[in-house]
Amino acid sequence: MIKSRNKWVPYLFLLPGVLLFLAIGIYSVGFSIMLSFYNWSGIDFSTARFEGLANFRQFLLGDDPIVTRNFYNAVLHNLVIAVSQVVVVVPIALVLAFVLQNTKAASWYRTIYFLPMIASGVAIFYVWKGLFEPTGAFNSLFLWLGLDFLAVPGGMLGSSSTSLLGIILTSIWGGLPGTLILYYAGLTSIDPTLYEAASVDGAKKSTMIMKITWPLLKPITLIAVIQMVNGAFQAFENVFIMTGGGPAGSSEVIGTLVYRTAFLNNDYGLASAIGWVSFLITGVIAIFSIRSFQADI
Amino acid sequence: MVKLIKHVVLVLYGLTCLYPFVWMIGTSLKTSQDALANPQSPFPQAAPAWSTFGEVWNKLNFYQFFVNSVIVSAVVIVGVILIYTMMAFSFAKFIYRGKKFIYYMFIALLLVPGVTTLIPLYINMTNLGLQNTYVGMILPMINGAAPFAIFLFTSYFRTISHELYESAVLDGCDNFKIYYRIYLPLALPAIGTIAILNFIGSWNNILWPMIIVDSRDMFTLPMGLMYLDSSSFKKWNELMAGALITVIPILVAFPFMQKMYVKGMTVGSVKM
Repeated sequence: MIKSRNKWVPYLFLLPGVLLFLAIGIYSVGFSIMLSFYNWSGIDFSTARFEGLANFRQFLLGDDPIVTRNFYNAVLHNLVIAVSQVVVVVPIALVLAFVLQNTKAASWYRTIYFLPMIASGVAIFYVWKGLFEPTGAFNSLFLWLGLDFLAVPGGMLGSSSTSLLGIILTSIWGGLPGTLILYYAGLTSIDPTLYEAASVDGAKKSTMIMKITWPLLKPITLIAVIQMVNGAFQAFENVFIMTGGGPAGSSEVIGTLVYRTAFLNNDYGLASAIGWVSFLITGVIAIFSIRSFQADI
Repeated sequence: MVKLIKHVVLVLYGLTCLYPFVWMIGTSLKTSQDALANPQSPFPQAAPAWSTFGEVWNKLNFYQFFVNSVIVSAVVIVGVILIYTMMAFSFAKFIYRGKKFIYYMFIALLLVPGVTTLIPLYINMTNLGLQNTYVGMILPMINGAAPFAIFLFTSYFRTISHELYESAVLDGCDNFKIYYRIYLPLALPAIGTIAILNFIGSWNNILWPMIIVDSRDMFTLPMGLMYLDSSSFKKWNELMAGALITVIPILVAFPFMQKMYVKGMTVGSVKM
């Protein structure tokens, strides 16, 4: 790193990005913080009324019982999606990466495993919606297996007891490949001489896994977990397309709640307040992501 | 034996990855009656009905949606790469006041859930008269890509030997020349990764376009799909034909993307 002779040069390189950030990022963040203290139904801001903490009390402390219930349910659902994803994806991804490691056709398998990761989007969420239909693949599979009690008559997404499960299954399907490929890349980049040295010292295979492989994969696990939790708390598209948060709010997440409050109920102040509280929740998680993004500059 | 079990496990997982795509393709080839009668089957029972694609393409003006999606994604990719490689060059190469503050301010953008700033963003863009415009769709997407792009480019630039910079200066190169003649070409792997990530992200983005666009001429492909879905009674064959049209560009770019994506993910996270 150097000190430029012309001291404006480094700033010139920053200019386009910073201008965009000021015009879009800073303005939006500032205005939405302000909005969270107002009652406003949109269009003309002169109709907005300052209300202090009323919005926050409304959904946090039960001033409006329905909104409060919706909010805590949504947070809970985000949490359930995050935890279930981590708990299911990490072990499966690890095992699959191990199995894949010494396989001849690894590149073929990898190509296939890669598909869900890149193609996941609105189109694929519609496919899942179709598979979850009452007469769709899941119900047919359960009936064929004789597991009739699992075949929900309205389809997995149509019942309030299973709709979240449908969302979770889709998230796992979409999230597993990324973690698997990370672990695979990690495993193949471990120096084989480490294992050789250990076996010369008479280490057992299980010892090697615990003492060499797992510690070296730790940073990958951390990153994978952070990505999954962050992703789960920012979930929107999958829920919006597949269930719209229903039935009866059974799959509502923060994203869909804010969207509905703002753009369907036109309660912009309340929506902003909910958004910022969810920001504080994700903030705790995201502090970890910042640390993993710490480049030494 | 162990080998066999291995492959059984790998194939089984492969099938779960593939199945939704098989069902999508199969259903798109069904006739309306077939789709209604055999929704669970991944294969058409009758002769494939290729005509559905043409109908969907014409009826919904999918061509226009396709063009819109291409324009938005292409400009987002170019913008992200240009703007954030410049910033990264500045972060990686120079010492100056306020650098750390600006760097972390951008990385902190990561913290803010997109949905929180959606409302002011919408008001902001509407006030600027950018509703139903490409610019209105594109600028926030570029800004949203900032944290990861800056992080990745900065780390990548820092691995480029400083001697290259010094010898270029001795040859009389100014900083802008050094940036685009030396650093930009050398950062191609990182550029590829960011390009792919943002292609997938902007191609699949629905939340922002849905809010800033209400004219059908400006719809992107995923919005076209939602429009297909909005009819009172669902035609799965048409919906899946539309879905396939939406996914095909991603599948076409697939072999190239796979290579770059893995490379980039490893640059970012596997530090061994």
